[in-house]
Amino acid sequence: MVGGGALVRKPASPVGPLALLHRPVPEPPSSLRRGPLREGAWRSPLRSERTATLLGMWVGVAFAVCFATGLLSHLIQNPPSWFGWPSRPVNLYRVTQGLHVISGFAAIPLLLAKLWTVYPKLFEWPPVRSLLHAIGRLSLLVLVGSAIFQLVTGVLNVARWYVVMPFFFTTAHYWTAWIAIGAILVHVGSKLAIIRIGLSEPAAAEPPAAAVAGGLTRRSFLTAVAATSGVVALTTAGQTVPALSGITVFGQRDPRLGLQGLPVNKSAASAGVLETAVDPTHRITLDGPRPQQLSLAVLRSLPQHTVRLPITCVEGWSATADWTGIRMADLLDMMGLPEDAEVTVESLQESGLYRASVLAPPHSRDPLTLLALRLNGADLHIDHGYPARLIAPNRPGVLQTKWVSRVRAL
Amino acid sequence: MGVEGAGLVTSTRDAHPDGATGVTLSGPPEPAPSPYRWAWYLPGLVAVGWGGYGLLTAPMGPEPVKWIIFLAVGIAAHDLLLAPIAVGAGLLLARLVPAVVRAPAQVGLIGTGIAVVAGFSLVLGRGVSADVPSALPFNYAGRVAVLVALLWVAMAGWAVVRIVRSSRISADQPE
Repeated sequence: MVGGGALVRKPASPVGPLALLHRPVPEPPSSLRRGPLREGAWRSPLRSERTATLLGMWVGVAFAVCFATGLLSHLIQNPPSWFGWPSRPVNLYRVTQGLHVISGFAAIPLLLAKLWTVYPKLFEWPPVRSLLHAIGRLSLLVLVGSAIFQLVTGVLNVARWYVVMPFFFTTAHYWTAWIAIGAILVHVGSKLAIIRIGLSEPAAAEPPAAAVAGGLTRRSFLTAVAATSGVVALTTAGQTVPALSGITVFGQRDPRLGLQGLPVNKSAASAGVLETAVDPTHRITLDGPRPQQLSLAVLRSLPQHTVRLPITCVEGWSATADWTGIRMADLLDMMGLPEDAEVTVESLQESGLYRASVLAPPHSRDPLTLLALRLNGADLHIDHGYPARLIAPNRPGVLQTKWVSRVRAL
Repeated sequence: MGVEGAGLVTSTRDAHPDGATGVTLSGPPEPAPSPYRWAWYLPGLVAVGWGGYGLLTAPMGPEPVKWIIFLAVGIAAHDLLLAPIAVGAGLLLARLVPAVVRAPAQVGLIGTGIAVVAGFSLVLGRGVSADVPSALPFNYAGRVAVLVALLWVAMAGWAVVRIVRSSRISADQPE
């Protein structure tokens, strides 16, 4: 131990099969220890247990927020029987999904700084000390790989650059999130003793000024990383927080820009409904105990209500608009459905994962849930779902079915 | 714990059971693993296993080979490209930039690097579609450039402050 004076307790050696894991393996010839493998090759005084621990904690918090909000979004879209999601407050999903993307972008500088801090460990000598050590090192591939995977695929999704991902983004991102968060937990467990050292080191324990030589101190390095993360978060948040949209750098949308003052995620052309949606013979089918077909003229003659609700995309952007249409509760009553009925709202779109969505209580009976015909005072633009679309409070945009063709009782 | 170069070591540590220890970032031998590590290992391993199971069995899940290749490319891109660039930039900076302005230059480089990494896919604009003009509506290259420019202006200001302070300290030194 550098500096001497430390007391080292040597525990009993493992026995049985465990001994094989711990048995030292021969060290490679020292002539191979060159370049970054040399002793003393890594001399930056910024790297320390405290730096690594604090950065690791920040990365852990960012990934935990990402994981929790991402898991929530997944559960809302694929609800198991035990899961319930409220319809109020109307902006809750907007907050959680906005936070998901913001914390993901904010994690980029934190993860890169953490990896830079521990980069010399990649060149530790000997490369393998025992079988257990080898397993530990290989497990880091899962940790680092899955963490980078999550941030890269998340950024590519925001940039809508799907062709470089040789898989369906949503599935790969969701399941890899479990691997990433699990690998983080395992890593924390394996580093508990070092984390204790890092946290017990006095904050004032800086390297001598001569070692820093005019460069950043550990504290100022950490401050710079935190500030960079904060700036990235602020310049991403504009797609969720309209007041910040003017300084957006890393966001996908300006909530103020789009047809009828609202962004569009999927166009009528890409959904293949350009002709069917404007067909004057189009009828919306109510498929329940009292089946009926309603033309747009009939829908317009029903009691209309205007609500102010956000549309929130799973990509983190959200925007508020005024929607006018028929309360879904009124339609369900027309269909002769009980209060607790669930329905499927289907689109004219003939294929696609999001061509239909299940509408269940409390959203189905919430007075804010509409079959909307108008947006911000005008008929829906076809890209917003003309002639009619679903809009419900506190629900992902992919579940706000556009170009509605049928409401079917389940 | 010991601070590199300061030689202050006061803690008591357990050695690794096999006695073959690595070293920590600041030099001392790694301590023995915590007895509480399994409280983290168990949920962590369950989560990793659940994620792996999901990747292999979920409808529309990725082909394992493609997933592994993507993962490996990400690791390689960091370990063989980004990290060496960062380390090399740090070495060059230490050699070429005067000590008095080294810290602002370091922060400028950190911020610039992050802006490039976080913004490159938006700047390239491969996801832009005439079909959905409200998606990716900004001039991302311009916005990243402005952000980086503002950062360097701030760092230039900090550098000036450090130069002035340094010259004052020099002037106050006794002959």
